[in-house]
Amino acid sequence: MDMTDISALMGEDITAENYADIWVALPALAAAPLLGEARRLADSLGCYVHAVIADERLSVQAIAFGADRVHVAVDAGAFLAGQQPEFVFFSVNQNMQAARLAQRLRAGLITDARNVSTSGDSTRALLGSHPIYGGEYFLDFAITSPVKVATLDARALPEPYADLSRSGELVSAPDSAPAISRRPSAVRDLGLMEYSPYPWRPLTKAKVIVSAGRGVKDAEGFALVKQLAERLGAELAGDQSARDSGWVDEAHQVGVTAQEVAPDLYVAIGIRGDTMHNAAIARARQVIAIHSNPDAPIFAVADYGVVAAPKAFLPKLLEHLA
Amino acid sequence: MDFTFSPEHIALRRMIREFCEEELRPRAKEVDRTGQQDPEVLRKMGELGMFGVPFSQEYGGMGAGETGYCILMEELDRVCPSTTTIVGAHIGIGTMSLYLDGSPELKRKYLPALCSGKKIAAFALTEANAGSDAAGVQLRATLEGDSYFLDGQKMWITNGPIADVIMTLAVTDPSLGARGGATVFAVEKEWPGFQPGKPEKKMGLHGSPTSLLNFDEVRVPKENVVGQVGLGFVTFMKTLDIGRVSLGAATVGGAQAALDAALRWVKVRSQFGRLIAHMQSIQFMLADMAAEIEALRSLVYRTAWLVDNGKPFIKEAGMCKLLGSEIASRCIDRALQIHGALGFSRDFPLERGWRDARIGEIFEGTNEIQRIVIASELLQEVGVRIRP
Amino acid sequence: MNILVILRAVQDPNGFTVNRRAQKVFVNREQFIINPSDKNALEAALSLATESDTVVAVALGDAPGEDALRQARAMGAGRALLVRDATLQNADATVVAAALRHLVNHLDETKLVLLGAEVLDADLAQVGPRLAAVLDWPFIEGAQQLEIHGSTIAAIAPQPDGFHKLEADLPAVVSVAPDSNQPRYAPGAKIINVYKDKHAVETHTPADLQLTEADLTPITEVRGESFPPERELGERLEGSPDELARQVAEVIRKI
Repeated sequence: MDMTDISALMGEDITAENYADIWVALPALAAAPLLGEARRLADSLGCYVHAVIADERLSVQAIAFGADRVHVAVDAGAFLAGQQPEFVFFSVNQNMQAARLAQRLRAGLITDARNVSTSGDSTRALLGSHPIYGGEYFLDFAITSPVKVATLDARALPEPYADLSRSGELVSAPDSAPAISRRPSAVRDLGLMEYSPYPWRPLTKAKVIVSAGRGVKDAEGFALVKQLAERLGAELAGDQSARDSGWVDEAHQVGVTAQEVAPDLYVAIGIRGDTMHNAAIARARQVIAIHSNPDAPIFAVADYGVVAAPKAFLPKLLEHLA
Repeated sequence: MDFTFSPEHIALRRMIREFCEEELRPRAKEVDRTGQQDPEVLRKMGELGMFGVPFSQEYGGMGAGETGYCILMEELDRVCPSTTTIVGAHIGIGTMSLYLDGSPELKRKYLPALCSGKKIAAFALTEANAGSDAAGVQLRATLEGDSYFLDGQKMWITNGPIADVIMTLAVTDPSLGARGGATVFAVEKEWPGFQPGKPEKKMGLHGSPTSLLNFDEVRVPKENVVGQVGLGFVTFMKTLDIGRVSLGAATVGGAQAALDAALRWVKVRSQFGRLIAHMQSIQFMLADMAAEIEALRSLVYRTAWLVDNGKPFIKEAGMCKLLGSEIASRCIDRALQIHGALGFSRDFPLERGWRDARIGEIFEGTNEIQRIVIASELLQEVGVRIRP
Repeated sequence: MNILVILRAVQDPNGFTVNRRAQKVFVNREQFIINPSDKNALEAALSLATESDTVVAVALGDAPGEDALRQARAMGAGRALLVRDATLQNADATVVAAALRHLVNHLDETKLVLLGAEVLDADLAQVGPRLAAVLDWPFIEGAQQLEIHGSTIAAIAPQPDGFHKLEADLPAVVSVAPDSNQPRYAPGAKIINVYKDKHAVETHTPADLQLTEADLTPITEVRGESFPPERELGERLEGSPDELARQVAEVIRKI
């Protein structure tokens, strides 16, 4: 392998003075909260916010949400490689682009960074917390390289404030962006496919579980629960009575069978919540319980409780999730 | 003294535990309910070498020794005693008798298939009139030319309905009785005249098929004598001695599973305004369980060490089985009590464990026989030979 | 060809509990497991390998990495390489990428590098793309299914609108999605033999691979741990049914 190409790929020496400002890749408006974060940090650092958009039509909102300058480029990563940014923010689903740019600019990267801030001292380190073990706790990282990259989850950030009176500059698109690499490293996309992921250990690996109990009343009610599960892309489960009614099989029963579940979200619908069931869901990140009886034990182990009859409540919930 | 398991045994236990949690635990309830094992699971176990753990790799075994075998039995019994019993009868006494005393040719003929689980073994000793009094065996083996003809009946044979190769004790010289005139034969199930009975209906171990075996003038070639003609009783007693160690290991697993269940329960169950974990009566039960299990575990693995290092172990093996069966039954019973009515429910695995454990004090040498074995060894050490 | 599989040893999540109130992690049992999606990557490699391919398992660090490599050999990997250095145990992604790049150059005929798409205990999902960038190889992220046809690799991988079939010319780096296959069990006899064999794992030092001090200097550091807020259980949402539905929908969307 030609070693000289490596250093060309690695870029020239990066010294802090050349690199400035906070640059945000904004592929869609859903990433706007990142601009809000950038604005907050830029104000404390006294620097500018740049937004890199693919579609010129986003420029007005980009400026309203906090960008001082807006650049149009189809490949944000390739564009940024030639821009000398000090801080770069990508969305969490742009892990690949962020890492590739970070490697090119010899930058540290924190993915899915929470509570982002800067160190406030001369190192201008970027600080952020990264969730580990599925969010059980966080490692607090500090990036000490001259260029600092982070990916952020827009859903975990506050809604940004749109100030249409803000002014900013739309910078015309450059004709060509410096290539990240000399050799073609293309991945060819052959198109959308019908595919369902490997169905193994449905409940223990599920990220979202929607679970039904006796309070669901009948097959009609259960159909609503099923709809909710489908809408959320969730695994459908049930307690003992759901199993007895034949709504779910043993593999999808929670409680009594000593199978613990640890999803990000567990929605208990019409489940009264006996000791075994509640012990089985103790490690869920969040529990929402819907039951008509306000004294049901399930409420004591739920983060959010709704006292309502499931059959009446579910259609409304489905409406709001449309 | 180094009380740590070797790295290979630690790694082996980890693989077996994962397998048991993934493949056996979800099926255990159904196996108990229907009495049917999943053949796919048994096949996988065979592929991973679980049907030949202690046997040398030269014969297709895993080469993990008695310690490795005890680890297997402990891990299996944590999850499914029915499966443990099938494997235990197959390895611990069935194939073991061939392994201990069979000729190299006979071992080469059967061991590879037995070790891979492609064939299942059974140990046929017990008869209607010969339980604890094993010397009361009457199944007859008559020599005619190049073959023996076996005639009679065996009872309560674990793996009876499913075994492919049955190590059978038969009387070859009635004038010497079973003690001096019995021989072990490797009998294949396809041979004419051999017929297993229907599976027995038992209190527990529903997934472990047991039956009587009918021998109606079954022709067994001379080559299939295991060990020496006339010394079959010695072979079988030797086999039972070593089989006890792994039985003890199984009871460690069963008892530990009960304690683990109890620990999970006491930290979530509240009565009288507090977790029952804070009640002394519960704490004392848990402490007693843990202390007994710890003592049993040390005894079992030390005895496995004695076996693997060629040291005498008969007394200790008897202790493993005697104490193990009683400790397991006690722990499972205490765990059931701690769970209250839930422990009594068939939707909860404890009552199955309770039913499965009861046979522990009876099979493979009743605990009364174990006491005689232990006393016999003890008294021999001080110069007294007792007659059973 | 050599198919390289990167294995990370991580603390077993069943061995510790997080106490949010005390803001502490209580380690009940320190034990390590192979990072689950790396195990899926290993399984993918073992399934892809033909008779003329060698699956080479690779780990950085110390004893936990060595144990992970022994497990990989017992599962069927033809070779296992440990880059032994305590500082590599929890190294940052740039150091890991540099070490792996040197390893790839050291092992001729490496045409494919597989690794898990997520690492339980560290911020290392970026290793794959970094390694690909520094090798200038194509990178496919989150592959569910893999196939090799001649000198091309095809993968089913998630895109914003669903699963797509992606294709790249070898050599390539591919990260494998967690739970995308069922890792095989290691046969018992192999476990016994591998763990008894002193030479089952080949060891190199960073110097053996010509890693420079610059390569080994991290640019990210862990300055501490923080914890999610204590769960507040028992909250009842208030309002009209419609209002309740709206609130629940909002909670759900935030997950």
